[in-house]
Amino acid sequence: MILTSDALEEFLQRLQALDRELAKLKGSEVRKAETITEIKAVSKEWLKLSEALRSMEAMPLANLNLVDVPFQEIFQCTGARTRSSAYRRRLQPIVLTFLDRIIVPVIRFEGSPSQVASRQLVSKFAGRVSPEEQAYLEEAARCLASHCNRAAIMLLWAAAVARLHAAVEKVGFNVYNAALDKVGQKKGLPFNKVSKSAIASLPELQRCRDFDLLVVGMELWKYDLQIFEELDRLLSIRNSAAHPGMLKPLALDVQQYATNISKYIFGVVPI
Amino acid sequence: MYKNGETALNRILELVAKCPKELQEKCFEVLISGYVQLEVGGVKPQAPIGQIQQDEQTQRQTPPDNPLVPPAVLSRFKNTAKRLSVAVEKLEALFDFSVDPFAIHALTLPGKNNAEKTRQVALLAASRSYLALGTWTADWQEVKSMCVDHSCYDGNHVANLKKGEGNVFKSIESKKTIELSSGGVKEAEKLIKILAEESDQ
Repeated sequence: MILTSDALEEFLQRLQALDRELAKLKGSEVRKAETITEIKAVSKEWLKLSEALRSMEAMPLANLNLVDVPFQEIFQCTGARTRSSAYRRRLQPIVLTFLDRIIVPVIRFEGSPSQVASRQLVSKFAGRVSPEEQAYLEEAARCLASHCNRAAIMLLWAAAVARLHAAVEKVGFNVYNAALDKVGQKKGLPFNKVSKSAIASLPELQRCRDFDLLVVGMELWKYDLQIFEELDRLLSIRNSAAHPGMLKPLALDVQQYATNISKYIFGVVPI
Repeated sequence: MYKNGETALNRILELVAKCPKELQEKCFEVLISGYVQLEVGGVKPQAPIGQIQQDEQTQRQTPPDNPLVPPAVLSRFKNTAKRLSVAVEKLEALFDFSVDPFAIHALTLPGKNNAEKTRQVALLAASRSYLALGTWTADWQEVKSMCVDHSCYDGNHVANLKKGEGNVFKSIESKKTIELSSGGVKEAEKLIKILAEESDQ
């Protein structure tokens, strides 16, 4: 469950509405089935929210416990005849402190620069990627949010390769092999570095070197040598990130890398 | 080692007892770890608080020889500073480069009420986004978080921003992004110029 401060704000509004409803009863017993159902529903909803919040490092556990206990009591009260004043006695402290104790820590967490960078990374590709590519991008974003910048670069490249593979599958292996033959007839770099092994299935495509795909891509998707060189640089950065060495990319470098992947892969290679 | 351990512990407990109840545990941890570090010779004797504050102020006033502006954004900082006719150092001073990615330092924003302050926050967040990525688009959650810091976060958060839609904000995609219009970009540049000029006062 991905929890947002917006969802918590909506939950607080629900609690405030319930409190207003209980206040109307002026301390008398709560008999209305709808109200009792709502009390049970918010208590159960809090259980889910609390569980999700516990996995969020920014949330102090003491703050959660202050809300957990009264909610537990509120839920237990629904099993017996209970006055509205008894419910309100437990609900009001929650309503009064929910913003400061629960929502604000989540807002601060969401607004931290690393979380912002992570969301910006995913938004660069919005509406232009398949669910499979999206999964890699989201994983890359999670790495960026956790300051695992090298891992983020590798996963961004994985998204790019997923696009290349999907595009080859779409045009068909025969077309790919024909393009490979054409590349084989050209002389000089980078054409003479391509291994000339034809493919006939997805596993064979998956065994292809990324470099070969990029070179053959010039024939398949008609990008020029300059775009190829940009792509080759991106592959080189990916390889540096994947092997021990002194490369220590910053979050901004990862974002820059994502921009280039978006521009030169997702903007050039159609799905 | 720990020759005067008992005396030191008694003194620590005395000090802890003077703290508010909710801070006592933390206070005890800090004091005991400080004592242990002193005993094992891991730390230098602490300077008087006044001196520390003075040193911090001197550090803040003196621009570092090697500013930590990431190379990827340095040219954008220089160009923006040139366009706004402010010194690059003053512009850099608005941001904290010790965190990755860089964040906005604590600043006092102009604005008479929450609505005005919220819009200023959005302009500032969009400016950070521009300097980092080249797009004048503020992240919704970042704006919310900054509003909490500037005490202008209230139930009318969305309405406060919507008031500026059209002339300042090109589009407000609720819960996602806030994009500045050309008028908004001018406003944002004016704001960071004012803040940069105020930064050394």
